[in-house]
Amino acid sequence: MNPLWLKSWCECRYRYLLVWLLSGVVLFDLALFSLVKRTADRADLGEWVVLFYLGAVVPIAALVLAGSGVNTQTSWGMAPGLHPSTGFLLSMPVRRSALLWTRASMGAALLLSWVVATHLILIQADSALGVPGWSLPLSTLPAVAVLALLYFGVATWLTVLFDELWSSIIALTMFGMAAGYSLAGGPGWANVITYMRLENGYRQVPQTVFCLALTAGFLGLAQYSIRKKEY
Amino acid sequence: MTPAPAIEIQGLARSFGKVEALRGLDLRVPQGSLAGLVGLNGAGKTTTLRILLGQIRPGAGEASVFGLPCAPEPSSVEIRRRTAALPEQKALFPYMTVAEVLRFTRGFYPGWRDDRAQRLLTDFELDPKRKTCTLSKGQLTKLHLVLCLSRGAELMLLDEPTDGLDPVATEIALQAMVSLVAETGATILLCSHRLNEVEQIADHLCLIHQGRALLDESLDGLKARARRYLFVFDDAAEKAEPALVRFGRLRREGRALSLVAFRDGHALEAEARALGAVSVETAPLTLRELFLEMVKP
Amino acid sequence: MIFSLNPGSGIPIYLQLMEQIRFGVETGALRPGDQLPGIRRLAEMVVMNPNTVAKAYRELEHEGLIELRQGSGAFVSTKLDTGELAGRMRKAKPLVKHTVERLLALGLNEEEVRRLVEAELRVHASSHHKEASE
Repeated sequence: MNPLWLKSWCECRYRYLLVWLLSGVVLFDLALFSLVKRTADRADLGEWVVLFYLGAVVPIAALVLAGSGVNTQTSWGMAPGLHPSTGFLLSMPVRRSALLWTRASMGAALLLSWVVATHLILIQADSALGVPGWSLPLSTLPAVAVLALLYFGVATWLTVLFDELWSSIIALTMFGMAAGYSLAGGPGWANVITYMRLENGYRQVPQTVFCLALTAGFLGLAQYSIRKKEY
Repeated sequence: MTPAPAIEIQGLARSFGKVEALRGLDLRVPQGSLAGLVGLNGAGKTTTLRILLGQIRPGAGEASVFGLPCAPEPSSVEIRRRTAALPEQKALFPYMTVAEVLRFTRGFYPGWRDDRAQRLLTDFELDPKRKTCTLSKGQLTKLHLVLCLSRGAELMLLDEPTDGLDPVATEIALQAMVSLVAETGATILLCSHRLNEVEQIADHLCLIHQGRALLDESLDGLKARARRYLFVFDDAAEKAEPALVRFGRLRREGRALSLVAFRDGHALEAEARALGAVSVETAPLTLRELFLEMVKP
Repeated sequence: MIFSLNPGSGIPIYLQLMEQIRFGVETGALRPGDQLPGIRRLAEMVVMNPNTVAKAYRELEHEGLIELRQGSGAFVSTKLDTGELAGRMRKAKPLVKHTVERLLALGLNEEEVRRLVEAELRVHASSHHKEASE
């Protein structure tokens, strides 16, 4: 197991850095607060930051950290989408599922650590900048984490089936559609934004259960696919 | 009682879409031997190695290593625990340094010999701190050799292990392989286009052609029975052709007949003399000549 | 004793090794009781297959030229009468010199002489084989 953790860390460390750089965008926006004078403008800006974070940054972070452990690259070489190091990797005495789960665990752990940290930073920024009624209360953190994991599960499954480029494109399309639907104020179950902001009332708990089940389902599918695949 | 073969393949077949990569391959690699696996590009060598390592499944037939079947995963993992493979594509994880790749590999093999690894790293002049994506092809090959030869594996499947190596590094590599076999009794299957190298260190030869094994025997035995013959006749050599053609592929130039015969050399000579050959010459064959003779259409 | 093997010559390497060891004994480079390099060391030195070295040693032991002692290694046989071997070679040398000189005087070149000798040897080998199988 140990060397797989080493490999997963080597793979994830730069991705983790990238995710933090992305959230720099959000934090940059917050810095703009100090330049905005009118409270009404501040509220607008605050709202925009929250929506941008929930609708775009979280899914992209999940996508960046997702991976199956079997490296892919867009290559038109021997087997489409496989990195040439795959032959070496698969000659190691490990089960395919072990490859997947160590990589997925590392990615998920880093993703959650980032979600928690960013959430706390936003709350701090809120109190520091003194914008009333804005931001994400701490109570929304679990919901954000659950949805981040769902995005992560979907993206991981996609990386098993497709190479890096195509899995990213498909994931972005799917996540974009979810965000677009939610931002347009679409009602009910499929609205991810209202779910994350705990605005769905009685639906909140069943939605959480459903999300977790879906995440497990996608990761299970990923395991099935990676074992069946011929490299 | 001869020990069980390290690799046993029977009737192995595998296609990729319409392309038949293997069509009923039979191979037996004895334990403790250094076997050369030779063949043209596309003959099925790499496909065979991939099946042995469990990366792809056989279409038909059986393949086993150490008596364990290559197909279901637990068995395949056990095989790989005792095997070291040097892949055809030499690239490694681009985000790891040489030292990190070594640490990675070492973690899977309790029998890892670090003294051997360090010595080879020095011999090959590899800098542990360099990222693998900055290494040249030859350096990657050298790194793979270090990874394979230090594992304490019982079997090594090496696909072009001297690819991109200069003559000095090649000598170090061949010497290390030979030394390993002598010290540990490991089995090596050496897949290579460099026939002179195979000839130098192999004691067993497998020749794959169009998905089947044309040769699978001891190299010395093969060289003992395969020779090139040149007969010169007084009058037309044509008359002798039909009688001699059963020994091998004949080439006629005027009064001279030449052929490569794989068996019954003495009978052939006797018959040629009986048919009136004035001059009988024979020469041993190099592996390259043997190979070309067998695979040229 | 320095070995120089040519894998590209077509002659099986173990035969070359055997021949060089025999030559060493004949010329006195190797004397009865001398130790030959261990299988592993020799294989590493000349970069050849250790199984092949082992085979060559076994064949030479069978011929009585060397002894394989358990645990110690390979030694040139002390039971050899190198005197007799050397004596044979001494008698043969002038015969060969004489014949070669005469053939060259006839106008043949070295390559032709070599081919004639080899062809003659093969005829002998052939008839030996025929006798053996009859």
